[in-house]
Amino acid sequence: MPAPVYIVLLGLLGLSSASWSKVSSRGEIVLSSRVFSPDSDTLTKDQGLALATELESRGRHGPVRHQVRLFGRVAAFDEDRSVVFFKDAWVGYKNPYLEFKVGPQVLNWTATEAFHPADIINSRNLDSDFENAEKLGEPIASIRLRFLNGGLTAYAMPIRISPLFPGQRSRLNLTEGAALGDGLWMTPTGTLSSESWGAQWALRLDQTIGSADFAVHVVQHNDRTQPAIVADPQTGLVQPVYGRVDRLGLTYTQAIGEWLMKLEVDHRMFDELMSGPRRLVVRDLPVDHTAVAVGAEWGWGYQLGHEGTLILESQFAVTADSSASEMSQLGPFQRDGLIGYRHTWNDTAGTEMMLGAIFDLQRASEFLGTLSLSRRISDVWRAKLGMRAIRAPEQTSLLNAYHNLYSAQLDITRYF
Amino acid sequence: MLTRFIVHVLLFCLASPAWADDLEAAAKGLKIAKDADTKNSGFKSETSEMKMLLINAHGDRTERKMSSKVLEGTADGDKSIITFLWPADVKETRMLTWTHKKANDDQWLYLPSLKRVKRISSRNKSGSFMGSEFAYEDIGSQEIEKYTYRYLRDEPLSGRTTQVIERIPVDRKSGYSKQIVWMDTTYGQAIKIDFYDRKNELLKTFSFTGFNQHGAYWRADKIEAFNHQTRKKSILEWSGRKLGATVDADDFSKDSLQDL
Repeated sequence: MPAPVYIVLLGLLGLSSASWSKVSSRGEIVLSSRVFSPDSDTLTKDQGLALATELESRGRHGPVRHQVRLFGRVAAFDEDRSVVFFKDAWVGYKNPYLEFKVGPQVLNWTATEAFHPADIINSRNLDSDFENAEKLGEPIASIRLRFLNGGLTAYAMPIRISPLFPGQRSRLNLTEGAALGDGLWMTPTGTLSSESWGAQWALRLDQTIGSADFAVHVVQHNDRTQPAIVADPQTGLVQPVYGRVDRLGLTYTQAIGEWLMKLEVDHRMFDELMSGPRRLVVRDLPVDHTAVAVGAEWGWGYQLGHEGTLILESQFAVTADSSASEMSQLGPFQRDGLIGYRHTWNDTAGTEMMLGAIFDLQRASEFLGTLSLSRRISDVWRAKLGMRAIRAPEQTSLLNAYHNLYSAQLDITRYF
Repeated sequence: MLTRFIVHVLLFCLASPAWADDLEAAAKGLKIAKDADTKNSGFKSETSEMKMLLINAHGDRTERKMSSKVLEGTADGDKSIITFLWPADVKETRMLTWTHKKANDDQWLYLPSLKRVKRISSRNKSGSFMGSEFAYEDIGSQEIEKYTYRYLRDEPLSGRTTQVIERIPVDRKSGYSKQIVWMDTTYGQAIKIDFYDRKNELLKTFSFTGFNQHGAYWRADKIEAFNHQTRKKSILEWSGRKLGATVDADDFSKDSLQDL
């Protein structure tokens, strides 16, 4: 988003708190350290240390609202991880029948805990949490008609925000050290452009009926999750290409007794990539397919007052007629299952543990395991320890770049 | 055959007074609950700030803060929003509950760090609310239909006139086998409740104090919950309570949770 637009937005939002009948704010500063199992590459950094902050302000004056969420990180050892971006910076108007918002927004269109095939609008910072990557705010103008227990929202997204890729020194770098140029956007005519401005739109209908929440979406935009890769044969520059895609999908959650049942579906129809004579297609756009995630969550209490939650999920891709290699290009999780367990101690320290294992249902040897423990140190401090192990020995797997990657991360967070 | 018939008739005759007493006690218990409900109906809405003090068996204290909004239901149960304010890591987390008289409640949690509104299962009623001695089922709206009742006795308590009733949760997933409620005849509110666990052992006692009148309605500004089994205590205090306050009915919707 152009800087002057931000300045105007911040100026507008910076109105004295007296201008808003209700203003609240929250924030956090995180000292984060991470360590990876050593590799033989001298370029990459096996340790990382970063200081990150997220500041949030929201206000309400009658039907007028605003929200600003700014995220920033300063990283030692690998300055490519230093970033600053808005997650939200919007002003809006809301009454019982209508809602209007303009400015960067993070949208959360998901029902599941691990696989999020329908959560498609925002770009991610791919050098953040692997399972829960930071989202970058997408400039959006939205209008929502509110009726019954939900509504119909139309989104116009005129400015495309590129994902943030791990730098050359990051152990999460997917290109094995090769420099990645700026992203290219496929236009509606199939040509490539480096211009951020472009026509993107979405419609989403959501309702709550009884014990079920459901939403249906139709989207036409540039996909950020499955880019093609092109290379300039003269300079060797490698660039991601964000293809034009038409999407139709849904999310569904229903409480049935002690179970929560979840479903996410996203059907993707990609425009054909025309890279032109000056660029070689290293990796093409995916074939048209439907990504489906199903899940179930079951919670129970223990005698001591602890609570346990079992999370079962699976994601798979459905195509009309595709080869194995085409299927493997659909993403790292195109036929996978998750078994997760969350244990909450329900103590004053808010102690929690989450254990998760994602298994590839086709490649028996592919596995991603995570363990996280978090605990309040005081009313304003919290510590979180996370560990992750990835095994993906097969060359055809998109996770292969992370084969035998073991890592641990300790976050100490001060909330205010 | 004749002997068996005579035995049945004799048993029936002996048991009838007991049945009649039980039916009468149930009807009276239900009437007391309904009278209390009637006394508390029509408040339309309620807003308040809440402070909760958690005290463990060693006397260590931890504080929690919340704000609450309730919209009285007409056809079905009430709707409520609790916004967590303290400790700082849960600040702005919100829980929306649509209480139903018979069906399971609908509940959603807004997680500000993820900007996600997540439906949660309301079935784990016995789970601790914010690590306190209050369970989720204690915090929610107490609809009449959620219990069966039995009148026990009239009994003065702390200088107040009370009617003591037993109420048994209809839901088998409740953490309680029964509750003994001392219902103040003037306030139309409980001033003490003994909770019995699923093994029918005394689990905890709630003591209600600091009653204030808000128009036609009485509300306790303090509940002290004492767990007899763990010796832990939680004290919940209300401030700035307003009944009939102007609340936006529109706020009690899932899509409004993240924009409050």
